[in-house]
Amino acid sequence: MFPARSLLALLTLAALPGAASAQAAAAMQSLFESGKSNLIKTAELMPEANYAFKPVATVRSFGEILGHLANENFLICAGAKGEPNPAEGKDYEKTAGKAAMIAALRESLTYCDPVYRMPDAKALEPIELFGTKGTRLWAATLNVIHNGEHYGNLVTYLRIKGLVPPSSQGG
Amino acid sequence: MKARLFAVLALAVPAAAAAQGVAASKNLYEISKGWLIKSAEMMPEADYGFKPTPAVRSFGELIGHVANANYMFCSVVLGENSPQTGDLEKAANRAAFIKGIKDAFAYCDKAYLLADAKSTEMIKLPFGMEGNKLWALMFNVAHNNEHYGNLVTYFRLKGMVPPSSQGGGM
Repeated sequence: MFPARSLLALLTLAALPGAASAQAAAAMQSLFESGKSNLIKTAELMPEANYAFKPVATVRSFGEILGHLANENFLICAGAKGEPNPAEGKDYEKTAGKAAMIAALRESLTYCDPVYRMPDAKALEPIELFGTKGTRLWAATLNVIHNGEHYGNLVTYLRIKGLVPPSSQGG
Repeated sequence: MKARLFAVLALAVPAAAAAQGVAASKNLYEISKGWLIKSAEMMPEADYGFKPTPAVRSFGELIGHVANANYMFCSVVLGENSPQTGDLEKAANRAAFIKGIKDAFAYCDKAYLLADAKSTEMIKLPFGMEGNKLWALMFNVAHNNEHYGNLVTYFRLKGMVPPSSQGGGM
């Protein structure tokens, strides 16, 4: 009854590889990893000529969304780690060229990797991000859903261009 | 540049910090739940059938899909049979879609009150995937937000400002 073609694809990608972990941060890891993979594949899938594509004038272009995500992965994961943002002062939305944009996106997601490997004791430590108090786990979760939300934008951009998004390519 | 993200953060963690695992997901669940219900209420009935391209779900079908998914994830977390009746993607009209998504969220609310001690209990989703309950709760939020991201583009194509960008000051 549940008509979830895209959900099914998402579920497949988000599957815990072996045994499921009993830990809080580890619960986020598989979701981060599936989102990361979808985003990198999306960046690779879109032809460079369409990086400037936007379905309507009021939104970010395809490339700008990727750059926005690179910015935010650095920013939020620096907050989750409790260290200065290594990309402070940079704006990856202005990155020129597909190859450079993919590199920036990859770099930001790689910077985030350790956030999703924290032991629970650390994940539940309080942090502050933009003056808002939460736990490291909260920031890690925020990052995953923010990635997912913009992936949802990109899915529609790809479809408008006649391309099948990575999360629907599972066969 | 970060205006919309700031809007997210401004809504986050109203009073005390989220000190525990489930609270970290509940806080974020509440934010996109609000956006999704507002989305359903904001779109005129005439545009419920709108899709930017034939290969995708219509606006209404996305609302129904999200409602279906919330019942699915949360019934598994609660360890209950889902009270859902029928495929909510096939709701008859705008009022029925809005009721569908509101009811689904009202049902799901209970799942986000889960005690942390229970959040590490293992569950199996209908497609055979296994994880702990906290994972399923986070998965549901990530899924809600992903489809909210679809809806944002639909709104913009219709010349409308999505709920997450209506906070002012941007």
